[in-house]
Amino acid sequence: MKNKSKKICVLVVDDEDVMRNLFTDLLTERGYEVIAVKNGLEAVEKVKEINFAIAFIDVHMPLMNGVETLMTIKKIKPQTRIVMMDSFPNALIEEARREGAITCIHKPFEINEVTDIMEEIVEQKERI
Amino acid sequence: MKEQILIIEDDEAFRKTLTNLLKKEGYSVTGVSDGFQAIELAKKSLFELIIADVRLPKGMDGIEAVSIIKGIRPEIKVIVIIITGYTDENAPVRALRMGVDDYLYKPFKMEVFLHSVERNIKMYRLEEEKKEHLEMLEKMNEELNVAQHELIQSKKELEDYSKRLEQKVEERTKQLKETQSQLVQSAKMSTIGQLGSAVAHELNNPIGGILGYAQFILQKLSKPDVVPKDFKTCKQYIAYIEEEAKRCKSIVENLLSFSRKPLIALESVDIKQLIENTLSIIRHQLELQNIKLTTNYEPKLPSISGNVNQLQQVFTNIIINAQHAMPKGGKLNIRVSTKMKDGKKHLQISFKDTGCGIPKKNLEKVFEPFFTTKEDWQSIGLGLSITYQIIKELKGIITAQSKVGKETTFTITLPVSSS
Repeated sequence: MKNKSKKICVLVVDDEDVMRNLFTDLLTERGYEVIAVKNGLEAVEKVKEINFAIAFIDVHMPLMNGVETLMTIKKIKPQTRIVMMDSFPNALIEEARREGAITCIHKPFEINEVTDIMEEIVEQKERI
Repeated sequence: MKEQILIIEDDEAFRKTLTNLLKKEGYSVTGVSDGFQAIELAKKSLFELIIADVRLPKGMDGIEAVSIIKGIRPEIKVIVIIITGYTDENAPVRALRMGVDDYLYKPFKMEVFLHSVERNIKMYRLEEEKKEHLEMLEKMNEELNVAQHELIQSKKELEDYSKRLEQKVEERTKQLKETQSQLVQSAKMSTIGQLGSAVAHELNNPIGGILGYAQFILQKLSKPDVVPKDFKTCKQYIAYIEEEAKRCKSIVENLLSFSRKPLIALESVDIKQLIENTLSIIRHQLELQNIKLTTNYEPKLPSISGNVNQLQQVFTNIIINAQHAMPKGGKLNIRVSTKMKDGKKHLQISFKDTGCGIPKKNLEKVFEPFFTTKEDWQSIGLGLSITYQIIKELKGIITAQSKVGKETTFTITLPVSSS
Protein backbone atom coordinates (compact mmCIF):
# COMPACT_ATOMS: atom_id res chain seq x y z
CA MET A 1 0.00 0.00 0.00
CA LYS A 2 1.46 3.35 -1.03
CA ASN A 3 0.55 6.83 0.09
CA LYS A 4 -2.79 8.00 -1.25
CA SER A 5 -2.98 11.68 -2.26
CA LYS A 6 -0.67 14.02 -0.44
CA LYS A 7 -1.71 13.03 3.03
CA ILE A 8 1.14 12.74 5.49
CA CYS A 9 1.28 9.29 7.05
CA VAL A 10 1.72 9.02 10.83
CA LEU A 11 2.54 5.79 12.65
CA VAL A 12 1.58 5.45 16.33
CA VAL A 13 3.06 2.58 18.31
CA ASP A 14 1.62 2.23 21.86
CA ASP A 15 0.14 -0.71 23.79
CA GLU A 16 -2.33 1.65 25.52
CA ASP A 17 -5.73 1.74 23.78
CA VAL A 18 -6.56 5.27 24.91
CA MET A 19 -3.26 6.59 23.50
CA ARG A 20 -3.84 5.03 20.12
CA ASN A 21 -7.37 6.38 20.02
CA LEU A 22 -6.27 9.85 21.00
CA PHE A 23 -3.61 10.11 18.29
CA THR A 24 -5.98 8.68 15.71
CA ASP A 25 -8.84 11.04 16.55
CA LEU A 26 -6.67 14.10 16.94
CA LEU A 27 -4.51 13.76 13.88
CA THR A 28 -7.15 12.37 11.52
CA GLU A 29 -9.24 15.47 12.16
CA ARG A 30 -6.26 17.55 11.17
CA GLY A 31 -5.99 15.76 7.87
CA TYR A 32 -3.28 13.23 8.56
CA GLU A 33 -3.40 9.55 7.73
CA VAL A 34 -2.96 7.68 11.03
CA ILE A 35 -2.00 4.04 11.44
CA ALA A 36 -1.97 2.89 15.08
CA VAL A 37 -0.45 -0.41 16.26
CA LYS A 38 -0.02 -2.14 19.60
CA ASN A 39 3.59 -3.27 19.46
CA GLY A 40 6.93 -3.11 17.70
CA LEU A 41 6.42 -6.21 15.58
CA GLU A 42 3.23 -4.85 14.03
CA ALA A 43 4.97 -1.49 13.58
CA VAL A 44 7.81 -3.01 11.60
CA GLU A 45 5.34 -4.80 9.32
CA LYS A 46 3.54 -1.52 8.56
CA VAL A 47 6.79 0.35 7.96
CA LYS A 48 7.72 -2.16 5.28
CA GLU A 49 4.50 -1.38 3.41
CA ILE A 50 4.05 2.35 3.99
CA ASN A 51 6.29 5.38 3.96
CA PHE A 52 5.60 7.19 7.22
CA ALA A 53 6.73 10.77 7.64
CA ILE A 54 6.83 10.28 11.37
CA ALA A 55 6.37 7.60 14.01
CA PHE A 56 5.38 8.19 17.64
CA ILE A 57 6.75 5.27 19.64
CA ASP A 58 6.17 4.45 23.32
CA VAL A 59 9.34 3.43 25.09
CA HIS A 60 7.79 0.71 27.28
CA MET A 61 6.01 -2.04 25.39
CA PRO A 62 5.77 -5.81 25.55
CA LEU A 63 7.59 -8.07 23.05
CA MET A 64 9.82 -5.30 21.61
CA ASN A 65 10.56 -2.14 23.54
CA GLY A 66 10.53 1.32 21.96
CA VAL A 67 14.27 1.54 21.34
CA GLU A 68 14.43 -1.80 19.57
CA THR A 69 11.45 -0.74 17.47
CA LEU A 70 13.17 2.55 16.60
CA MET A 71 16.35 0.82 15.51
CA THR A 72 14.55 -1.70 13.36
CA ILE A 73 12.47 1.00 11.65
CA LYS A 74 15.56 3.08 10.99
CA LYS A 75 17.15 0.13 9.27
CA ILE A 76 14.17 -0.30 6.95
CA LYS A 77 13.21 3.31 6.31
CA PRO A 78 16.00 5.52 7.69
CA GLN A 79 14.26 8.76 6.72
CA THR A 80 11.35 8.13 9.10
CA ARG A 81 11.32 10.73 11.85
CA ILE A 82 10.92 9.11 15.26
CA VAL A 83 9.41 10.75 18.35
CA MET A 84 9.69 8.75 21.60
CA MET A 85 7.05 8.80 24.32
CA ASP A 86 7.46 7.84 27.98
CA SER A 87 5.49 8.02 31.23
CA PHE A 88 8.38 8.43 33.67
CA PRO A 89 12.09 9.33 33.52
CA ASN A 90 14.24 6.38 32.44
CA ALA A 91 17.46 5.41 30.70
CA LEU A 92 15.80 4.12 27.52
CA ILE A 93 14.92 7.67 26.53
CA GLU A 94 18.61 8.62 26.45
CA GLU A 95 19.36 5.58 24.37
CA ALA A 96 16.56 6.48 21.98
CA ARG A 97 18.01 9.96 21.50
CA ARG A 98 21.40 8.44 20.74
CA GLU A 99 19.81 6.11 18.22
CA GLY A 100 18.27 9.02 16.40
CA ALA A 101 14.92 9.99 17.95
CA ILE A 102 14.27 13.62 17.05
CA THR A 103 12.58 14.42 20.34
CA CYS A 104 10.68 12.94 23.26
CA ILE A 105 7.30 13.74 24.73
CA HIS A 106 6.30 12.85 28.27
CA LYS A 107 2.90 11.50 29.23
CA PRO A 108 0.60 13.07 30.13
CA PHE A 109 1.34 15.59 27.38
CA GLU A 110 -0.67 18.50 26.06
CA ILE A 111 -2.11 17.96 22.59
CA ASN A 112 -0.34 21.02 21.23
CA GLU A 113 2.98 19.25 21.84
CA VAL A 114 1.90 16.72 19.22
CA THR A 115 0.32 19.22 16.85
CA ASP A 116 3.37 21.51 17.03
CA ILE A 117 5.62 18.67 15.95
CA MET A 118 3.26 17.86 13.07
CA GLU A 119 3.19 21.48 11.92
CA GLU A 120 6.98 21.56 11.85
CA ILE A 121 7.04 18.52 9.59
CA VAL A 122 4.52 20.12 7.26
CA GLU A 123 6.68 23.26 7.08
CA GLN A 124 9.78 21.21 6.34
CA LYS A 125 7.98 19.36 3.58
CA GLU A 126 6.76 22.63 2.06
CA ARG A 127 10.22 24.07 2.07
CA ILE A 128 11.56 21.23 -0.01
CA MET B 1 57.34 -10.66 130.14
CA LYS B 2 56.00 -10.43 133.59
CA GLU B 3 55.34 -7.28 135.46
CA GLN B 4 57.84 -5.07 137.28
CA ILE B 5 57.46 -5.07 141.08
CA LEU B 6 58.92 -2.59 143.57
CA ILE B 7 59.18 -3.60 147.22
CA ILE B 8 59.65 -0.84 149.76
CA GLU B 9 60.62 -2.63 153.01
CA ASP B 10 63.34 -1.59 155.48
CA ASP B 11 63.50 -5.08 157.11
CA GLU B 12 66.21 -6.50 154.88
CA ALA B 13 65.56 -10.17 155.61
CA PHE B 14 61.86 -9.80 155.06
CA ARG B 15 62.47 -7.81 151.91
CA LYS B 16 64.76 -10.52 150.53
CA THR B 17 62.22 -13.24 151.35
CA LEU B 18 59.51 -11.44 149.50
CA THR B 19 61.83 -10.60 146.60
CA ASN B 20 62.98 -14.17 146.09
CA LEU B 21 59.50 -15.48 146.37
CA LEU B 22 58.30 -13.20 143.62
CA LYS B 23 61.35 -13.73 141.43
CA LYS B 24 60.63 -17.44 141.57
CA GLU B 25 57.22 -16.63 140.15
CA GLY B 26 58.91 -14.98 137.23
CA TYR B 27 58.40 -11.34 138.17
CA SER B 28 60.99 -8.70 137.83
CA VAL B 29 61.56 -7.44 141.39
CA THR B 30 63.42 -4.46 142.78
CA GLY B 31 63.71 -3.88 146.48
CA VAL B 32 64.48 -0.62 148.35
CA SER B 33 64.59 0.17 152.01
CA ASP B 34 63.04 3.65 152.13
CA GLY B 35 60.56 5.95 150.45
CA PHE B 36 63.12 8.32 148.94
CA GLN B 37 64.94 5.55 147.12
CA ALA B 38 61.65 4.25 145.92
CA ILE B 39 60.67 7.63 144.51
CA GLU B 40 63.99 8.00 142.67
CA LEU B 41 63.66 4.59 141.10
CA ALA B 42 60.04 5.15 140.19
CA LYS B 43 60.97 8.33 138.34
CA LYS B 44 63.27 6.33 136.08
CA SER B 45 61.28 3.10 135.65
CA LEU B 46 57.71 2.04 135.46
CA PHE B 47 56.53 -0.40 138.12
CA GLU B 48 53.21 -2.10 137.72
CA LEU B 49 53.07 -3.23 141.36
CA ILE B 50 54.39 -1.53 144.43
CA ILE B 51 54.49 -3.40 147.72
CA ALA B 52 55.15 -0.99 150.54
CA ASP B 53 55.42 -1.34 154.28
CA VAL B 54 53.72 1.48 156.11
CA ARG B 55 56.55 1.78 158.62
CA LEU B 56 59.56 3.23 156.79
CA PRO B 57 62.62 5.15 157.97
CA LYS B 58 63.77 8.67 157.21
CA GLY B 59 60.48 10.31 158.00
CA MET B 60 58.36 9.16 155.04
CA ASP B 61 56.01 6.31 155.53
CA GLY B 62 54.97 3.83 152.83
CA ILE B 63 51.63 5.46 152.14
CA GLU B 64 53.24 8.84 151.53
CA ALA B 65 55.89 7.33 149.31
CA VAL B 66 53.35 5.45 147.18
CA SER B 67 51.21 8.56 146.99
CA ILE B 68 54.13 10.55 145.61
CA ILE B 69 55.09 7.76 143.20
CA LYS B 70 51.53 7.65 141.92
CA GLY B 71 51.74 11.35 141.32
CA ILE B 72 54.71 10.95 138.96
CA ARG B 73 52.49 9.40 136.28
CA PRO B 74 48.99 10.07 137.49
CA GLU B 75 47.30 8.68 134.33
CA ILE B 76 48.92 5.27 134.75
CA LYS B 77 47.47 2.65 137.07
CA VAL B 78 49.81 1.19 139.66
CA ILE B 79 48.84 -1.74 141.86
CA VAL B 80 49.47 -0.96 145.46
CA ILE B 81 49.74 -3.52 148.24
CA ILE B 82 50.33 -2.09 151.66
CA ILE B 83 51.91 -4.17 154.44
CA THR B 84 51.26 -3.08 157.94
CA GLY B 85 51.33 -4.10 161.58
CA TYR B 86 48.23 -3.93 163.68
CA THR B 87 49.44 -0.94 165.57
CA ASP B 88 48.98 1.50 162.65
CA GLU B 89 45.45 2.60 163.36
CA ASN B 90 45.20 5.47 160.85
CA ALA B 91 47.01 3.65 158.15
CA PRO B 92 44.05 1.84 156.64
CA VAL B 93 42.02 5.03 156.30
CA ARG B 94 44.89 6.93 154.79
CA ALA B 95 45.69 4.10 152.45
CA LEU B 96 42.12 3.88 151.34
CA ARG B 97 42.04 7.59 150.65
CA MET B 98 45.19 7.25 148.55
CA GLY B 99 43.82 4.30 146.68
CA VAL B 100 45.14 0.92 147.63
CA ASP B 101 44.48 -2.46 146.06
CA ASP B 102 45.26 -4.66 149.01
CA TYR B 103 46.13 -4.47 152.61
CA LEU B 104 48.14 -7.18 154.39
CA TYR B 105 48.57 -7.44 158.12
CA LYS B 106 51.83 -8.73 159.46
CA PRO B 107 52.48 -11.54 160.06
CA PHE B 108 50.99 -13.19 157.10
CA LYS B 109 51.42 -16.49 155.43
CA MET B 110 53.45 -16.47 152.22
CA GLU B 111 50.59 -18.14 150.37
CA VAL B 112 48.34 -15.29 151.38
CA PHE B 113 50.90 -12.78 150.11
CA LEU B 114 51.45 -14.62 146.87
CA HIS B 115 47.76 -15.04 146.37
CA SER B 116 47.23 -11.32 146.86
CA VAL B 117 49.96 -10.45 144.36
CA GLU B 118 48.64 -12.87 141.80
CA ARG B 119 45.06 -11.86 142.26
CA ASN B 120 45.88 -8.20 141.88
CA ILE B 121 48.18 -8.77 138.95
CA LYS B 122 45.48 -10.81 137.33
CA MET B 123 42.95 -8.03 137.88
CA TYR B 124 45.45 -5.52 136.60
CA ARG B 125 46.03 -7.57 133.48
CA LEU B 126 42.31 -7.88 132.99
CA GLU B 127 41.98 -4.14 133.36
CA GLU B 128 44.74 -3.60 130.87
CA GLU B 129 43.13 -6.02 128.51
CA LYS B 130 39.84 -4.34 129.03
CA LYS B 131 41.45 -0.99 128.29
CA GLU B 132 43.05 -2.39 125.16
CA HIS B 133 39.78 -3.86 124.02
CA LEU B 134 38.01 -0.61 124.69
CA GLU B 135 40.63 1.26 122.72
CA MET B 136 40.32 -1.22 119.92
CA LEU B 137 36.54 -0.97 120.00
CA GLU B 138 36.72 2.77 119.95
CA LYS B 139 39.08 2.64 117.05
CA MET B 140 36.85 0.20 115.21
CA ASN B 141 33.87 2.34 115.99
CA GLU B 142 35.67 5.33 114.59
CA GLU B 143 36.55 3.39 111.48
CA LEU B 144 32.99 2.16 111.14
CA ASN B 145 31.73 5.72 111.41
CA VAL B 146 34.07 6.77 108.69
CA ALA B 147 33.09 3.78 106.58
CA GLN B 148 29.43 4.51 107.14
CA HIS B 149 29.96 8.11 106.19
CA GLU B 150 31.76 7.03 103.04
CA LEU B 151 28.99 4.58 102.31
CA ILE B 152 26.40 7.32 102.61
CA GLN B 153 28.53 9.41 100.29
CA SER B 154 28.87 6.59 97.81
CA LYS B 155 25.19 5.86 97.99
CA LYS B 156 24.42 9.48 97.21
CA GLU B 157 26.90 9.50 94.36
CA LEU B 158 25.35 6.32 93.02
CA GLU B 159 21.91 7.86 93.20
CA ASP B 160 23.12 10.93 91.35
CA TYR B 161 24.84 8.78 88.80
CA SER B 162 21.80 6.61 88.43
CA LYS B 163 19.64 9.68 87.88
CA ARG B 164 22.02 11.01 85.25
CA LEU B 165 22.09 7.60 83.59
CA GLU B 166 18.31 7.52 83.50
CA GLN B 167 18.31 10.92 81.87
CA LYS B 168 20.87 9.80 79.33
CA VAL B 169 18.88 6.67 78.59
CA GLU B 170 15.77 8.75 78.13
CA GLU B 171 17.57 11.06 75.75
CA ARG B 172 19.09 8.17 73.87
CA THR B 173 15.75 6.38 73.63
CA LYS B 174 14.23 9.55 72.27
CA GLN B 175 17.04 9.81 69.72
CA LEU B 176 16.63 6.20 68.74
CA LYS B 177 12.89 6.59 68.39
CA GLU B 178 13.45 9.57 66.14
CA THR B 179 15.99 7.66 64.09
CA GLN B 180 13.67 4.72 63.89
CA SER B 181 10.80 6.84 62.68
CA GLN B 182 13.16 8.44 60.18
CA LEU B 183 14.19 5.02 58.97
CA VAL B 184 10.61 3.93 58.69
CA GLN B 185 9.93 7.13 56.80
CA SER B 186 12.93 6.49 54.55
CA ALA B 187 11.82 2.96 53.95
CA LYS B 188 8.38 4.23 53.14
CA MET B 189 9.86 6.88 50.90
CA SER B 190 12.04 4.33 49.22
CA THR B 191 9.06 2.08 48.71
CA ILE B 192 7.06 5.04 47.49
CA GLY B 193 10.00 5.87 45.24
CA GLN B 194 9.91 2.38 43.84
CA LEU B 195 6.18 2.64 43.71
CA GLY B 196 6.72 5.97 42.05
CA SER B 197 7.96 4.81 38.69
CA ALA B 198 5.54 1.94 38.51
CA VAL B 199 2.68 4.22 39.55
CA ALA B 200 3.81 6.94 37.19
CA HIS B 201 3.64 4.54 34.33
CA GLU B 202 0.32 3.10 35.40
CA LEU B 203 -1.31 6.47 35.99
CA ASN B 204 0.33 8.64 33.35
CA ASN B 205 -1.18 6.73 30.49
CA PRO B 206 -4.79 7.10 31.52
CA ILE B 207 -4.11 10.68 32.61
CA GLY B 208 -2.53 11.29 29.23
CA GLY B 209 -5.75 10.10 27.64
CA ILE B 210 -7.87 12.30 29.92
CA LEU B 211 -5.77 15.41 29.30
CA GLY B 212 -5.49 14.81 25.59
CA TYR B 213 -9.18 14.27 25.02
CA ALA B 214 -10.20 17.11 27.31
CA GLN B 215 -8.02 19.52 25.36
CA PHE B 216 -9.20 18.10 22.07
CA ILE B 217 -12.84 18.54 23.08
CA LEU B 218 -12.24 22.13 24.19
CA GLN B 219 -10.57 22.87 20.87
CA LYS B 220 -13.40 21.35 18.88
CA LEU B 221 -16.14 23.13 20.79
CA SER B 222 -14.32 26.47 20.69
CA LYS B 223 -14.36 26.61 16.89
CA PRO B 224 -16.85 29.13 15.42
CA ASP B 225 -18.31 26.55 13.06
CA VAL B 226 -19.33 23.86 15.55
CA VAL B 227 -21.79 21.35 14.09
CA PRO B 228 -24.03 18.76 15.80
CA LYS B 229 -21.77 16.00 14.56
CA ASP B 230 -19.02 17.54 16.72
CA PHE B 231 -21.16 17.13 19.81
CA LYS B 232 -21.69 13.48 19.01
CA THR B 233 -17.97 12.92 18.59
CA CYS B 234 -17.22 14.83 21.76
CA LYS B 235 -19.70 12.70 23.66
CA GLN B 236 -17.67 9.65 22.67
CA TYR B 237 -14.50 11.36 23.77
CA ILE B 238 -16.04 12.24 27.10
CA ALA B 239 -16.91 8.58 27.55
CA TYR B 240 -13.22 7.78 27.04
CA ILE B 241 -12.33 10.34 29.70
CA GLU B 242 -14.76 8.76 32.11
CA GLU B 243 -13.32 5.32 31.49
CA GLU B 244 -9.75 6.42 31.97
CA ALA B 245 -10.62 8.29 35.14
CA LYS B 246 -12.17 5.13 36.56
CA ARG B 247 -9.05 3.27 35.64
CA CYS B 248 -6.99 5.75 37.62
CA LYS B 249 -9.33 5.26 40.52
CA SER B 250 -8.82 1.50 40.63
CA ILE B 251 -5.05 1.84 40.31
CA VAL B 252 -4.99 4.15 43.29
CA GLU B 253 -7.29 1.85 45.24
CA ASN B 254 -4.98 -1.06 44.58
CA LEU B 255 -2.10 1.05 45.76
CA LEU B 256 -3.82 2.04 48.96
CA SER B 257 -4.78 -1.51 49.79
CA PHE B 258 -1.10 -2.23 49.75
CA SER B 259 0.00 0.71 51.82
CA ARG B 260 -2.91 1.09 54.17
CA LYS B 261 -5.28 -1.27 55.90
CA PRO B 262 -8.74 0.00 55.15
CA LEU B 263 -11.53 -1.09 57.44
CA ILE B 264 -13.32 -3.67 55.40
CA ALA B 265 -16.69 -4.97 56.38
CA LEU B 266 -16.73 -8.68 57.01
CA GLU B 267 -19.64 -10.86 56.09
CA SER B 268 -20.47 -14.50 55.85
CA VAL B 269 -19.25 -15.73 52.46
CA ASP B 270 -20.30 -18.77 50.50
CA ILE B 271 -17.03 -19.61 48.76
CA LYS B 272 -18.52 -21.90 46.16
CA GLN B 273 -20.95 -19.19 45.10
CA LEU B 274 -18.20 -16.59 45.00
CA ILE B 275 -15.90 -18.70 42.87
CA GLU B 276 -18.72 -19.50 40.47
CA ASN B 277 -19.51 -15.76 40.20
CA THR B 278 -15.87 -14.97 39.48
CA LEU B 279 -15.68 -17.70 36.88
CA SER B 280 -18.82 -16.47 35.15
CA ILE B 281 -16.89 -13.32 34.22
CA ILE B 282 -13.64 -14.92 33.13
CA ARG B 283 -14.77 -18.33 31.94
CA HIS B 284 -15.14 -17.11 28.38
CA GLN B 285 -11.65 -15.70 28.02
CA LEU B 286 -10.20 -18.89 29.48
CA GLU B 287 -12.03 -20.91 26.85
CA LEU B 288 -10.74 -18.62 24.11
CA GLN B 289 -7.26 -19.44 25.24
CA ASN B 290 -7.88 -23.20 25.22
CA ILE B 291 -7.82 -23.53 28.97
CA LYS B 292 -9.90 -26.44 30.25
CA LEU B 293 -11.55 -25.48 33.53
CA THR B 294 -12.62 -28.03 36.16
CA THR B 295 -14.04 -27.46 39.63
CA ASN B 296 -14.42 -29.77 42.65
CA TYR B 297 -16.47 -28.63 45.62
CA GLU B 298 -16.78 -30.77 48.74
CA PRO B 299 -20.48 -31.15 49.61
CA LYS B 300 -21.96 -28.97 52.40
CA LEU B 301 -19.13 -26.50 52.61
CA PRO B 302 -19.25 -24.16 55.63
CA SER B 303 -19.14 -20.42 55.07
CA ILE B 304 -16.19 -18.23 56.02
CA SER B 305 -15.92 -14.70 57.33
CA GLY B 306 -14.60 -12.29 54.70
CA ASN B 307 -15.31 -9.52 52.23
CA VAL B 308 -16.88 -10.48 48.93
CA ASN B 309 -15.11 -7.82 46.82
CA GLN B 310 -11.70 -8.55 48.26
CA LEU B 311 -12.05 -12.30 47.86
CA GLN B 312 -13.25 -11.85 44.32
CA GLN B 313 -10.13 -9.75 43.72
CA VAL B 314 -8.01 -12.56 45.17
CA PHE B 315 -9.55 -15.30 43.03
CA THR B 316 -9.46 -13.17 39.91
CA ASN B 317 -5.80 -12.39 40.50
CA ILE B 318 -4.86 -16.04 40.88
CA ILE B 319 -6.93 -17.19 37.90
CA ILE B 320 -5.53 -14.47 35.63
CA ASN B 321 -1.99 -15.38 36.71
CA ALA B 322 -2.77 -18.97 35.80
CA GLN B 323 -4.09 -17.82 32.46
CA HIS B 324 -0.90 -15.88 31.76
CA ALA B 325 1.14 -18.95 32.64
CA MET B 326 -0.61 -20.97 29.92
CA PRO B 327 -0.48 -18.79 26.79
CA LYS B 328 -0.97 -21.80 24.57
CA GLY B 329 -3.71 -23.37 26.68
CA GLY B 330 -3.79 -25.97 29.43
CA LYS B 331 -5.83 -27.01 32.43
CA LEU B 332 -7.02 -25.14 35.48
CA ASN B 333 -8.51 -27.01 38.40
CA ILE B 334 -10.19 -25.32 41.35
CA ARG B 335 -10.85 -27.46 44.40
CA VAL B 336 -12.57 -26.46 47.66
CA SER B 337 -12.54 -28.75 50.69
CA THR B 338 -12.55 -28.65 54.51
CA LYS B 339 -9.50 -29.36 56.59
CA MET B 340 -8.62 -29.45 60.28
CA LYS B 341 -5.74 -27.20 61.29
CA ASP B 342 -4.65 -26.47 64.86
CA GLY B 343 -7.78 -28.22 66.04
CA LYS B 344 -10.05 -25.81 64.16
CA LYS B 345 -12.01 -26.28 60.96
CA HIS B 346 -10.64 -24.52 57.86
CA LEU B 347 -11.56 -24.18 54.23
CA GLN B 348 -8.92 -25.05 51.69
CA ILE B 349 -9.15 -23.57 48.20
CA SER B 350 -6.57 -24.70 45.65
CA PHE B 351 -5.91 -23.42 42.13
CA LYS B 352 -3.81 -25.75 40.02
CA ASP B 353 -2.65 -24.86 36.54
CA THR B 354 -0.55 -26.77 34.00
CA GLY B 355 1.47 -23.71 33.11
CA CYS B 356 5.15 -22.88 32.87
CA GLY B 357 5.68 -23.12 36.62
CA ILE B 358 7.71 -20.96 38.99
CA PRO B 359 11.40 -21.69 39.62
CA LYS B 360 12.29 -22.36 43.26
CA LYS B 361 14.28 -19.17 43.66
CA ASN B 362 11.29 -17.08 42.65
CA LEU B 363 8.79 -19.10 44.64
CA GLU B 364 9.96 -17.53 47.87
CA LYS B 365 9.49 -14.04 46.49
CA VAL B 366 6.27 -14.51 44.65
CA PHE B 367 4.18 -12.72 47.30
CA GLU B 368 6.57 -9.79 47.63
CA PRO B 369 5.31 -6.44 46.41
CA PHE B 370 6.69 -5.38 43.03
CA PHE B 371 8.08 -8.82 42.33
CA THR B 372 7.24 -9.65 38.74
CA THR B 373 8.85 -11.69 36.04
CA LYS B 374 6.58 -10.29 33.40
CA GLU B 375 8.38 -8.31 30.77
CA ASP B 376 5.50 -6.03 30.00
CA TRP B 377 5.14 -2.93 32.06
CA GLN B 378 1.46 -3.42 32.61
CA SER B 379 2.24 -5.77 35.44
CA ILE B 380 3.84 -3.95 38.35
CA GLY B 381 3.78 -7.03 40.55
CA LEU B 382 1.30 -5.93 43.17
CA GLY B 383 -1.42 -8.50 42.52
CA LEU B 384 -0.12 -11.38 44.62
CA SER B 385 1.18 -9.16 47.41
CA ILE B 386 -2.27 -7.62 47.76
CA THR B 387 -3.78 -11.11 47.65
CA TYR B 388 -1.38 -12.13 50.39
CA GLN B 389 -2.38 -9.15 52.54
CA ILE B 390 -6.08 -9.80 52.10
CA ILE B 391 -5.75 -13.44 53.10
CA LYS B 392 -3.52 -12.56 56.03
CA GLU B 393 -6.07 -10.05 57.33
CA LEU B 394 -8.70 -12.79 57.21
CA LYS B 395 -6.39 -14.84 59.45
CA GLY B 396 -5.70 -17.29 56.64
CA ILE B 397 -2.61 -18.34 54.72
CA ILE B 398 -1.72 -18.66 51.06
CA THR B 399 1.05 -20.86 49.76
CA ALA B 400 2.48 -21.66 46.35
CA GLN B 401 3.97 -24.89 45.07
CA SER B 402 5.37 -25.44 41.62
CA LYS B 403 7.17 -27.75 39.25
CA VAL B 404 8.92 -25.82 36.50
CA GLY B 405 7.52 -26.59 33.08
CA LYS B 406 4.72 -28.65 34.55
CA GLU B 407 2.32 -27.09 37.05
CA THR B 408 1.72 -24.56 39.78
CA THR B 409 -0.70 -24.75 42.70
CA PHE B 410 -1.80 -21.83 44.86
CA THR B 411 -3.49 -22.95 48.05
CA ILE B 412 -5.56 -20.66 50.28
CA THR B 413 -6.54 -21.80 53.77
CA LEU B 414 -9.16 -19.77 55.64
CA PRO B 415 -10.70 -20.33 59.07
CA VAL B 416 -14.35 -21.27 59.05
CA SER B 417 -16.53 -18.68 60.79
CA SER B 418 -17.47 -19.82 64.26
CA SER B 419 -21.09 -18.74 64.08
